[in-house]
Amino acid sequence: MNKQQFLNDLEDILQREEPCTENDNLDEYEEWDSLSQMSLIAYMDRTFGVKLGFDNFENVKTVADLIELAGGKIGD
Amino acid sequence: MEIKFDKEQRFIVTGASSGIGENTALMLNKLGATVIAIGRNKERLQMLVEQSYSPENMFTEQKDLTEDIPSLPQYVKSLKDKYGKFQGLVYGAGIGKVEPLQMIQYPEVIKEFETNYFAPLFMAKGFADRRINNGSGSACVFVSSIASFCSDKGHVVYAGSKAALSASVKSMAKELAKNGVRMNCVSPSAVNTPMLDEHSRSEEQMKKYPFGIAETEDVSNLIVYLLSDKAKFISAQNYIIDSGGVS
Ligand SMILES: NC(=O)c1ccc[n+]([C@@H]2O[C@H](COP(=O)([O-])OP(=O)(O)OC[C@H]3O[C@@H](n4cnc5c(N)ncnc54)[C@H](OP(=O)(O)O)[C@@H]3O)[C@@H](O)[C@H]2O)c1
Repeated sequence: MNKQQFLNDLEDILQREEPCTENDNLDEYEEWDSLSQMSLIAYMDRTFGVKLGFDNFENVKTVADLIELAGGKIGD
Repeated sequence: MEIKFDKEQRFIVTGASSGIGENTALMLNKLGATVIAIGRNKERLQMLVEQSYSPENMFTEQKDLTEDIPSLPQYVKSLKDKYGKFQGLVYGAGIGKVEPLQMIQYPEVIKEFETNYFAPLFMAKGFADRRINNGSGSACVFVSSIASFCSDKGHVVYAGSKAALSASVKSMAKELAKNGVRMNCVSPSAVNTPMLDEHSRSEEQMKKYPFGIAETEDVSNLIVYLLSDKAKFISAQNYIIDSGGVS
């Protein structure tokens, strides 16, 4: 999967009217909450086989940090 | 107490071609809302428009909800693109057969679960998207059944499908509370609609309903209340309407 596909998926997961970009700060998204994190955990597992827990989001600040969580499975 | 809606408040009503869904669609329309009425039977949907208080605010969509369940969220989005964002959803479509365990057959079990459980789940998924509903104040009501609490003989499959629905609605309601979206169920016992079979109308069964068989508006009154802002503190509940004491 490339970054743009991930950004599109993220926009859907967060149900945002606006597109997501790599440098966006997640704290500025009102949609970024425990439920959307739960959805993202399910997404990462289903799409990449990457198993995450809520703890993994503790040091996550930007969309780019989320991409890193996929452990190299999201290419350019 | 007066409940009023305006035509900018759009409600999707499934099962609108008959029974409880039909009566709910008419009531919402009469109270000023715009209704997108979904059913399979075209003639019955046409009759619904003819009976409407404001036919110009009663829109019909012919759709078999079990035809392609995975695409239902996309279907709800297409309705939003056509009509605008939604204030509410009533899931009134449903089927129910009286069949004891000995008689159940897998394809029929699947069909019942598709109609009574999988389709409402995926309609709810579509509705719950922030880009589809009006946010705070939006509400859904799912028509479950008394069978989801206390099932009788012959309701092996039906009761399971309705119990699954009621249980899921509670979870959905908790997920959506943050957005101000409310989700509730109503669980009637016998209601005078084409679904009510001869068995349920029998003298033996009638003994269970001290108030007799409910009319559709006995159920729609509660549905409409739950959709209105008068019920703004009520979510994740399942209301029994059991004609005086079945449960
Ligand atoms: N009547 C009762 O005693 C009673 C008691 C407890 C709970 N309930 C529940 O109340 C709800 C409404 O039932 P009702 O009594 O009003 O029954 P009804 O008069 O038979 O109406 C059922 C409605 O569901 C629609 N429907 C069924 N399968 C569908 C499908 N695959 N796609 C689209 N629409 C579909 C029908 O549409 P078409 O006719 O256009 O196909 C019809 O509008 C059901 O969930 C039922 O389980 C009823």
